[in-house]
Amino acid sequence: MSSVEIAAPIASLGYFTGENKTFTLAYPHTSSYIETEFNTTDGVNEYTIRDEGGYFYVLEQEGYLEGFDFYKEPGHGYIGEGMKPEFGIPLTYHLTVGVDQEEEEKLTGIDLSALKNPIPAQLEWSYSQYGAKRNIPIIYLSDSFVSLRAETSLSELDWGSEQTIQLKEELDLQDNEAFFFSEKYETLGDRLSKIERLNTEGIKIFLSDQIKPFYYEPFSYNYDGTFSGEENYSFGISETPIFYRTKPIDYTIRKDQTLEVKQIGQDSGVPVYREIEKQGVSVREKREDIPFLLYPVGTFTTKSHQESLAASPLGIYQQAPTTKLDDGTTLHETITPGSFISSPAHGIVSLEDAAYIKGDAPIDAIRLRVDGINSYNEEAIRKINDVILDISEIGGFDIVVVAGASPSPVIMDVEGVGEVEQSWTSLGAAATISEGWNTTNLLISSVFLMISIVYIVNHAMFRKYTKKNETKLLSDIGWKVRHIKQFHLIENYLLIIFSGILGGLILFILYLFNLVSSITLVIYLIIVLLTFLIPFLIIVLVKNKLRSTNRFNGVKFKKVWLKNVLFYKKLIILCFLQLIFVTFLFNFVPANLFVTNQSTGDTNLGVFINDLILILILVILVATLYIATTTIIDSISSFLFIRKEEILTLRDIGWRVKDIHNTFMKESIAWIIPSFIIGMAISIIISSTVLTFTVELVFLSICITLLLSIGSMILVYNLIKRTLKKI
Amino acid sequence: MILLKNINVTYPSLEKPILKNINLHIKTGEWVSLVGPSGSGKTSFLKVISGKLDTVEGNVIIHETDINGLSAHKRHEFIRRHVSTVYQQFRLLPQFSVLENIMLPLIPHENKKRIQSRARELIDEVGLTHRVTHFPHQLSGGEQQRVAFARALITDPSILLCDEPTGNLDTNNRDIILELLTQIHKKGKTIILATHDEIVAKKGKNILTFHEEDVHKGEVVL
Ligand SMILES: Nc1ncnc2c1ncn2[C@@H]1O[C@H](COP(=O)(O)OP(=O)(O)O)[C@@H](O)[C@H]1O
Ligand SMILES: [Mg+2]
Repeated sequence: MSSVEIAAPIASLGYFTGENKTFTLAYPHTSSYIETEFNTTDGVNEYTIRDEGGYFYVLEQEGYLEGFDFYKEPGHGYIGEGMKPEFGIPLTYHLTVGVDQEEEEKLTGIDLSALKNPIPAQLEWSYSQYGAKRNIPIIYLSDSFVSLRAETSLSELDWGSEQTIQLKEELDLQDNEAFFFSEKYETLGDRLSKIERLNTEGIKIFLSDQIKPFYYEPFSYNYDGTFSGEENYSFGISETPIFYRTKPIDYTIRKDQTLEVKQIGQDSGVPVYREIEKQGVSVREKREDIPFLLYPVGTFTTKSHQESLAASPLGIYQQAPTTKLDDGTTLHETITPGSFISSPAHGIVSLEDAAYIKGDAPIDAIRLRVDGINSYNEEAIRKINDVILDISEIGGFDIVVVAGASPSPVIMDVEGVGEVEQSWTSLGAAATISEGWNTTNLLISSVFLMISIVYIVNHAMFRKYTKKNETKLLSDIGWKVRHIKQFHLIENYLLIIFSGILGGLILFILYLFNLVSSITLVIYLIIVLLTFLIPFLIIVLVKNKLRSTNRFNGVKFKKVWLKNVLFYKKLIILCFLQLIFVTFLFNFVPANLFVTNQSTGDTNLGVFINDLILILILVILVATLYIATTTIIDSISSFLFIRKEEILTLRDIGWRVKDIHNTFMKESIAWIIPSFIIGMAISIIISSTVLTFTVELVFLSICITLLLSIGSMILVYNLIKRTLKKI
Repeated sequence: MILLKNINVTYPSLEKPILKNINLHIKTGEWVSLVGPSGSGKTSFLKVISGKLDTVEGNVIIHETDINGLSAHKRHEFIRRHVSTVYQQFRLLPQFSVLENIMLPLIPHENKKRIQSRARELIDEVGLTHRVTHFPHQLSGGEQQRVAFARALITDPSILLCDEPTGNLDTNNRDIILELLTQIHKKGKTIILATHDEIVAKKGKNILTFHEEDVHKGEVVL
């Protein structure tokens, strides 16, 4: 496809972990008991991570290595001579995607060249024994936040160097032999727990600055709150073949448009808000046939691109914070998969590796940038449509057009957390706005279609009448009113059925070509049915009126124009209907623009969509104005020609042109203005149900209707004048 | 009084004049019948008097006013006051009742209540009192024509032009119309009536015969 500038595929892989390490604490000054547990927080609640951390006894022994020997809780990793208090850092899980490096760089401008870095030879060598089938380089987001904290309690022990030496003797150990050489090492815990603890100090160690996803430098904590580099540590990538696939959060949409998020379970003591599914296997459990190992090889950053990346579809780089609604606290993802916060991608692997991990159909989306688009205009729309058409010919894709994207706030009520506001990158918002617009657009298009068709039919009808011998028509009407009435009603219905079927057919063809959705057809059907009702109602109402004028005829001379309107209602009715539709459009569309602009105009996307829609709307309004004008011109001049004989008679019995003009003017006002008012009323009713009712909206409608009325009166005035001259 | 001097009528689409060099004097209260074959110019002659033609040469003097010399507007106003016409096709408006049709000529000009009482008198005169609220399609041809007469008389014209008023009626209705015309004549109105019907024509005191070939030469005083 030549018109596609960039095609950047993306494969969403799930949540992965990277190289795991331990961190150490400096030696304390005296014999101590050190216990550490780990917390992760979503910003509101803290969760202690189960089965992590542990305890450590450091016991003074003068002259022995660094002056301490130790006892470490069994089953918690490496034990080595002279080791400092050391704790395994919990695994942290991070959203990882696969991309095509070059295309992605072109699309986003983010430097992903680190993906080309070689796998560290040392690390690769140490894991070669497991015979992983594939070594996968991964790069990670350097400016990401990992919500992790160590909670350490440090207790001074009533225990001196002599007691250590004495204990070693009891265990048949030499002074220079470490405790763990003893066969009774395992039982030592009980013995040491009986030592009196003199005082206990709680220390909170914030690890977020030290820990990055997938890889971080080893560090050691000094009790003064600072960190320093550490050479003695354990590390491993043995857990990297395990990952979690997540399903989207199952939101409940409330009436007020907020989303409700329920906790559906927990993982290591941390709440889980979406379904997660564990995949793969740990090297610790299975020492051969490992499908892959992840090797962190470098970093990427999106900081300087946050503005432009708002426009990046799927929002995989978007980092707008999620905040608590009441106090503005910033919320975080927990380190476990299943958080309610939709996170940006923390890890990136190559598309080939992603395909290897995911197997069949690895690509979730391909983001295209269409060539040569600088602004959103007709040409841009055409180009995009061409690409869409080409893609739909290939088939099997869901196509989403994101004209521009923007973070737009969504309010969620999260169980156990409260109401939070999260920025959703635009696809969500775009969908909402365009959905909202779709409904109104469908309404507008359907009404417009109806107007056009009624116009054609109305035109044809008048043609037919004007062609008829006028005298014959008059006497037809004059002699067989009741018969003609029925005939006209049936004729009206036939015309509406005819135009309804015609319009439906057009819409259906558009539907077959996927240009309109099925809702359009439904809305159209409703409009046609409503149209059916109107002539019936009017004819029934008007009929009764005619009878009453009949009855009181001798008593009072009714207004000439009124008698005429009632008498010729069959000719007027289609035109009347059409003007109702036209006024509806003229009131509803600006009202809609007005309201939608107020609610969505403040996001980039909203502005963009409105721009696009504005063009569409303008086209429809101009066409409507054209149709409305020609409708009035056509109807009134044909109407006058049909009544030529009547006009001549009035002239012959002494009426001046002025008198005839006046009467026809009143007559026209008598049906045009009501049609405007009805159209306006319908628009206000629909606007205030679909949108919101405001005084401004009513004011706007009244202004528009007033303008329409004045315009049409000027038009009608001149039209009658010209036509009367011709007669 | 109607005085026609050197009248020539040519229709724009025709080469020869339809009426040629007519000089005629019709005194007030006369009843003149116009006879002659179709297309001989009877209707055109009536249109000359009712000022409906724009292509008239000569003087059309009605009650000392040369209407051919008046502006279209003034002529229309003058004719409205002095001349009324009854047509073969009645030309009633279907959307109006009998009473309303009769009132119609004066609606733009006068107070409705006054018109209405005049219209009611006229309805009585033409013998349609029981039909006041009916509509034209509910009446017979003869009745419709009587409504047309009443409508013509509502302006109290001194001159009544009738263009084949009985052409669409049976003899019975024709006689009723003739009786009506006699009464109108008795009230001193000038009647000029074009007809094919010999009986109707003979009711007139003077009969003016139209021939297809230029008949109307020389001076005629009726
Ligand atoms: N408006 C007109 N334009 C052209 N010719 C006309 C017009 N009205 C009448 N004529 C012609 O003038 C002639 C006289 O017509 P008319 O006065 O109606 O005769 P009559 O009433 O005796 O039948 C006819 O030949 C007719 O065709
Ligand atoms: Mg004639």
